[in-house]
Amino acid sequence: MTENIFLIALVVLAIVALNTKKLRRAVVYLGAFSLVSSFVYLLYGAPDVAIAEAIIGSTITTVLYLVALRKYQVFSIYYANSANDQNLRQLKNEPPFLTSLEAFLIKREMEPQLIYSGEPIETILAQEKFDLAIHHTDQDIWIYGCAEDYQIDAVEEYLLANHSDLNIHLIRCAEGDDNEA
Amino acid sequence: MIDRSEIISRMTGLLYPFILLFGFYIILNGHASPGGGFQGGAVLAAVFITRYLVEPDRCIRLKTLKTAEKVLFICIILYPAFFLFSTTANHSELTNLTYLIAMNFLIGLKVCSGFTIIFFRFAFYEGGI
Amino acid sequence: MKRRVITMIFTMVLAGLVTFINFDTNLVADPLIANFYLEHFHADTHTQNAVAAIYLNYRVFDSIFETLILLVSVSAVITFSWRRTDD
Repeated sequence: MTENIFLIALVVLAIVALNTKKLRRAVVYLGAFSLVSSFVYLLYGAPDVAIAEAIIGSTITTVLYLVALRKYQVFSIYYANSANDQNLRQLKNEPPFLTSLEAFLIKREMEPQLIYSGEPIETILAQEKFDLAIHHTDQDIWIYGCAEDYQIDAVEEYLLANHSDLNIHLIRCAEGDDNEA
Repeated sequence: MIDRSEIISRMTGLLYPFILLFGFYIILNGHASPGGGFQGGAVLAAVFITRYLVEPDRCIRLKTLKTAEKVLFICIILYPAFFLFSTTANHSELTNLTYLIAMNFLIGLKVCSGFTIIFFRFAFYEGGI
Repeated sequence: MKRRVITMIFTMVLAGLVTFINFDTNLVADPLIANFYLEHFHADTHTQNAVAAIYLNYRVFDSIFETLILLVSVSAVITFSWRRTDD
């Protein structure tokens, strides 16, 4: 009878882990799932399997998933400014559209990392591993992104909706040519 | 980790001698109680993994662990080959218990080094930061 | 809302299926082999744990190849890694 309750708890935890919106919560639900399943093994009389499941399922894979999520979330933005001297002096306080872009990315569970670069945009595109490269000229703002990145569409939609006065052009590069990460 | 929690790092630092002790207990009592080489080795690997949460530095030598794993694997092949497959008769109690404890210990160390290598490969050498 | 209702119905059907299967199965393995191991393991290996007797004595090939699988997967992780240098 007891194992029936825990088996139903297993089904519920598995479906809750599938249905969560945030990946971090799904990882925690999976850890709870392995703990309950190790208890079910114990009820069935297999303590050896229960120990292995408890350690591997709820310690090692949970920490591994969390580390992987952390690595996946870093979103590096290169910012190159080739406008006039007046604009260059204003570099200390970042332009308002970058601030709102960062707030948008934080809301989507990413961790934006802004890198100011003094090099021309061609060397950045050729050498660095970027998620977004922003080139600020006198009139226009050119944004280079990777075509396969699924965040790019949301970023474009957001920028066009909120900063339509800024002449923003978005260019999708092919994967592999200039972005290996 | 950029923003480490003080409470977690202190508590894990306090806990990991006990986790280490528990891992060796599981390995060395594998012939008499539930547990054994694989489970105890996974507990020992969990010690290194929680150590990564406390202070993520690169002072673990993966190359040494890699050679250690290969040497332990050769030992795991050789010991049963000379002990079990040489005769068909039953051994005495003392030699049997030595064989079981030594094999559990070898398997535990090998599994520990294997899991540690896999985890630190993913943590330090893969993508991102 | 509709999605939530479908999920709940699916969960209930799955839970019912799992409890039905659990109600129906026989938890004891093939009695012939199990009885053989349970009767002879102490005389053969002088242990108290039947599992240790099986995986270190009767089926020692099993644990040898299990450790070989771990070694091969470690080599595969190192080979397919993003950066191939050692240390």
